[in-house]
Amino acid sequence: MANFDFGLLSVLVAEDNQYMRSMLRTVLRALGVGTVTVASDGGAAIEILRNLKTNPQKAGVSTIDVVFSNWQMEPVDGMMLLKWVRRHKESPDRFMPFVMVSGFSDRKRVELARDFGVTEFVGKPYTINSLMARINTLVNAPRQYVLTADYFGPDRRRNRETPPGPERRVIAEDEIEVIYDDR
Amino acid sequence: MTTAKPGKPQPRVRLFRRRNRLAAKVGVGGGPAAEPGKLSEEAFERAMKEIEKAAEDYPDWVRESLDELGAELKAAWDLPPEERVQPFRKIGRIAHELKGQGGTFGYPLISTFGDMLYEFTQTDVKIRDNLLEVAKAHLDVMRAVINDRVSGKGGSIGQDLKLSLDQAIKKYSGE
Repeated sequence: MANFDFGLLSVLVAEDNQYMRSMLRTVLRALGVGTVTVASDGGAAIEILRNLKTNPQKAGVSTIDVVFSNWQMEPVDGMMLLKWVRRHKESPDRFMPFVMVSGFSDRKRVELARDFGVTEFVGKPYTINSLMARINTLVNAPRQYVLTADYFGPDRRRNRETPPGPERRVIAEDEIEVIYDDR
Repeated sequence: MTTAKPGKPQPRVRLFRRRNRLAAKVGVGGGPAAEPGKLSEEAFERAMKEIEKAAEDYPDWVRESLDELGAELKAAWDLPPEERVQPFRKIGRIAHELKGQGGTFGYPLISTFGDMLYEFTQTDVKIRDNLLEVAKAHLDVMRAVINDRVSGKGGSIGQDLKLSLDQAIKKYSGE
């Protein structure tokens, strides 16, 4: 199994606590991530992402491959940032992998983030192991993206296995359209 | 699964299957037959060392959060019960932050007490003095954890702190 080389990777960290922000940046740099850009809340992150297209010099970076965001931030929280990335016309990449790093780790909150299109969820307090497990999944097991009337984001069904209860995904074959496939 | 044709019903689900761009970027392929990659032991060790280094400083910088929590508590005490919502919410925010930090830096008791305090602040009832006493008891045990550098599960000191907090909760909750 080949080792990851994160040298070309560019990550945006949105975290309002300066120590936790600095910690995550340091950890990602230690893991070998080439570029780590930081934002003090969701609004600052949106500003950086918006500038990627129109004014990369102002953004301070030419591309962002992954977003790591805290959930609870003021004035713009991580969920607002996630919504913006997935839905806003100015988003530089609506398919951007988005990792929520949050102390809100109860099932209800995790499902809420999932329903807004989060890619991975890291519970706080995190460990290097928990962080790496999510990064491994990001890289090794990306999912197709799904657009429906009320959802856009990674396929919420990660596994292909038969669900334990009744099948809730009732849809005819001709109601599914593959818009894009370059795999 | 087909591509839509003229005359067919409007699709309800649209799928986007993109090449694995991240895998390609981190040097482990990305094509359909690509092998999964992994983090090197060296990178893992480097990251662990950074966490260990930060853990040494954690008691110093977490004191700022505890002081902030204490200031919000004092602000709440100075207000009549019906006007304490704002500082109490702020206390909840800080407690949530503390929950998310302690365990990362080897102080899981801070996460435990922070979580308890956060849950406690998620209330709609009028914030009377007894609720502030309970919040203060949480602050006191967190200060004790940091002052005495009670890392890990805390052994007998950790147990004593949990016990004293339980007793304070019972006393001020009227149980």
